[in-house]
Amino acid sequence: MKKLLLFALFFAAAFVNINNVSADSTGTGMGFDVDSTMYGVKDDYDTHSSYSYYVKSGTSYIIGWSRLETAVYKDLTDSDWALVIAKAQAEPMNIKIPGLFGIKYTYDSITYEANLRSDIDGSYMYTYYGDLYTNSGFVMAEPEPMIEPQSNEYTVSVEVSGTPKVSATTSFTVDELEFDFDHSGANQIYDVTFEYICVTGSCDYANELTYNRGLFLVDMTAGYNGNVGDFFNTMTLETSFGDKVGRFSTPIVVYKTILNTLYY
Amino acid sequence: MNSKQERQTSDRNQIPTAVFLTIAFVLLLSLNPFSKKIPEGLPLNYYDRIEILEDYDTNIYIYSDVIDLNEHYGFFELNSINPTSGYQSDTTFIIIDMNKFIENYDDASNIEALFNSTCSYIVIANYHSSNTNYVIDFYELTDKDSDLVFYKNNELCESDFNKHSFSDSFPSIVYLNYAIFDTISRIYGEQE
Repeated sequence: MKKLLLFALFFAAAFVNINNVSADSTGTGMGFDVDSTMYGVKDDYDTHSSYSYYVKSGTSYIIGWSRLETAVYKDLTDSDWALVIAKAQAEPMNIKIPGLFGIKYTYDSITYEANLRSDIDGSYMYTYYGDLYTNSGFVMAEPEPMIEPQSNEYTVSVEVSGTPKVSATTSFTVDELEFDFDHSGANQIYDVTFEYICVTGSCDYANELTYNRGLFLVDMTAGYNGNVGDFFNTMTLETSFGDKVGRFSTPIVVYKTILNTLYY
Repeated sequence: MNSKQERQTSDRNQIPTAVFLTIAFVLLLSLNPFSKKIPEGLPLNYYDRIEILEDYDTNIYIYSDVIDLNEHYGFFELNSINPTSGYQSDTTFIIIDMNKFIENYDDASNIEALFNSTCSYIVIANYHSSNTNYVIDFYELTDKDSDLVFYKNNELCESDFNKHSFSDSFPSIVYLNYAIFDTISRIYGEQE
């Protein structure tokens, strides 16, 4: 509970800075009211989706869908800071798979965990020989060594407010979601795992389309050594899905990682 | 043989019939031959997704030799990319399979012109698996490894659509077809 309160304070503190004036549509779409006076419109946005497959007898079965959306804003009032927002979605998907004697049964899929992670200093970018830079893109003219943006410290927040976190048809209690939070200013890592909990056999939250959000501020005063604009950051979402029965016995978990890139 | 014995013999003869009927009933329940068949590997919400497309009167145009929506949803087949065709609906999706596009040595500027002339969704399929080098203005580098990306011209259409992009390839075309249904229904959900 202490942890939750701490996160709530972090979150509230972050939103004191952000204020609710008006927001650009990307931030609004992701569920954030980003102050347009302070942050303007987004400087970059990236999103990727993916299916998680459970492979049985050579057939791939879709048991989950996940999506990561990320956006970055320059702080127009203080160039020392930038704001990154992230929205992660996960939806388990039920399937029919062959069981005993080939008779199909329903595989009741649930979300186990969703891990959002960003290593500010360790962000990386793959480049390919012959790639070119354009005004709007960031492809490199020639392959370069790994780009490593730097920052000394940043603040972090995780939403734990009373905002509904599931589709309107499902109720949600905080008992069904726990956080494993590994933020460290010294290591400059933002790392939060949303752990879906089944309470007394009920996996309501884990059974539904859910979203979790996070934001963090990046200290831009540290010397940036990259050659891709002023800011470069990668964020990953690792989602794990499995069957509900497995949650209470031996789980078969399928992990899927999505990587987003932000730069300006 | 008295009547009691006859009755017992008759009952014993009926046991295999009862067992057979029970097994048949259980099989009928489990196989459910009256339900619509979902392609192997796809989720149980398969037809729910298609119903959403039908509810919105979704028009899908496809420029491809292989994408057929699993023959479960009607679509218009395109023989060329024509920027002047006048697609303007918010429920119209134009799917361009890069495999066919590069086979026909078509010009990327056709796709760009189409993107700049319509408020319909432009869907680029198989960009990664086609190993193409085509540079399309609006196609982002971060989607280089994607085989299905949904774009919309927000400036032209004054919309706030956030693109949808799959981070990796699909096991087969059947899954890609499902991803099209799934993503379109999610886009409608976001608009509500």
